Amino acid sequence: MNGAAAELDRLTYAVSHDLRAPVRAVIGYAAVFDEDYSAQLDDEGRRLLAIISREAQRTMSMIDALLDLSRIGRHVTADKPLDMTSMVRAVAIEVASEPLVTVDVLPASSGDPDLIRRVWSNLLANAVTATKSQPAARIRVWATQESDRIVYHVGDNGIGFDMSGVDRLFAVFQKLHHDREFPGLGSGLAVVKQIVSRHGGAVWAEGRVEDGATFSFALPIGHAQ
Amino acid sequence: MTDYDDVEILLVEDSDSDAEMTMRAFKRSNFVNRLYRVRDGVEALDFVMCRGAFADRDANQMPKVLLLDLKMPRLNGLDVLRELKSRPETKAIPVVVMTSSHQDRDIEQCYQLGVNGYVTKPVQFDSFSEAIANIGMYWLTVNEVKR
Repeated sequence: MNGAAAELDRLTYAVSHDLRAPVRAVIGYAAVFDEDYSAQLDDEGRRLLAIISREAQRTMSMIDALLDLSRIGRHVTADKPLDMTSMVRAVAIEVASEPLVTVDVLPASSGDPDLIRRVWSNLLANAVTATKSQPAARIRVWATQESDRIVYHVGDNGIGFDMSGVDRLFAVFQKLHHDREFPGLGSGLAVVKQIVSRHGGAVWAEGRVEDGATFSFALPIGHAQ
Repeated sequence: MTDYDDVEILLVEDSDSDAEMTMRAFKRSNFVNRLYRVRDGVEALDFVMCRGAFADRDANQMPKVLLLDLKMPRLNGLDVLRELKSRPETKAIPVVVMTSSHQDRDIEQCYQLGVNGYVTKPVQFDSFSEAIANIGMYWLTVNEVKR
């Protein structure tokens, strides 16, 4: 990281870290208030209190997502051989009913096993969400080899997205779908991008509204050596 | 008798909110042990060593456990821990660090300095209460202290 980026990261970390305490206090006091006074409130009072509590929780989740991103940025990445085929198959079982995901035999790579596992986990979880209302959902994982890098792809036939928003896709808290279609904070792809960048790679996506999406990431060959 | 006699739990915490939550959590779990709260590291050391505002405190009565926040004005938690664990007369006092967020560097440093426990304050009040109850259960009832 260059000087300005490092400074920005340090600032992000410090701000997020210090924001946790007051937000935790709001969550705590709301819980205590609920415990002691909810019997004296009417339905509307309880509804308002529930919103205060829920929004404070969401703020905390956002802070934690920023801290997480910042940690990945500063994390010293391990550089180990990665058996991508078995890694992806294991992740697929965790995030999806396996028959949904077809995993090709993938070229091995190298990098930080925990971090790369998160990349797969986030991409597959997104694909599962994107296809959840699809009667014949299909998710496929494959790879293409180029001279200096291996490109891994996760394709699905789900709700897709509008390519005009593709730049926002990997930005933290930016979402191209409503919560009811695609729940979550909108930090998963930012994490993917941060991790792949840490490995000297690149990420991109292609999609069409209601017509599926393919997310790809490239890892340089010889990163480990 | 002053309100800092027979103190069993010394809470070192600059945040009023966190202090209130901690005291509430002890009460909720039916701990009636005397708790005294100080607001920074300087006050914590004054209390333990019977100096300054606590000059008339009975030096034979040491808290059964000291709950220590890390980030505090004046003297921070790490400095308090270093000081307590380096003195023969105070190093036996169990110190449990309770801090806002999980940071590996802090955890490692605390253990190097001889901390007895390290807890990240849980976000949810239920979990926070449970953490406090566990601390109370262990350090106030299970753990044997030197008499």
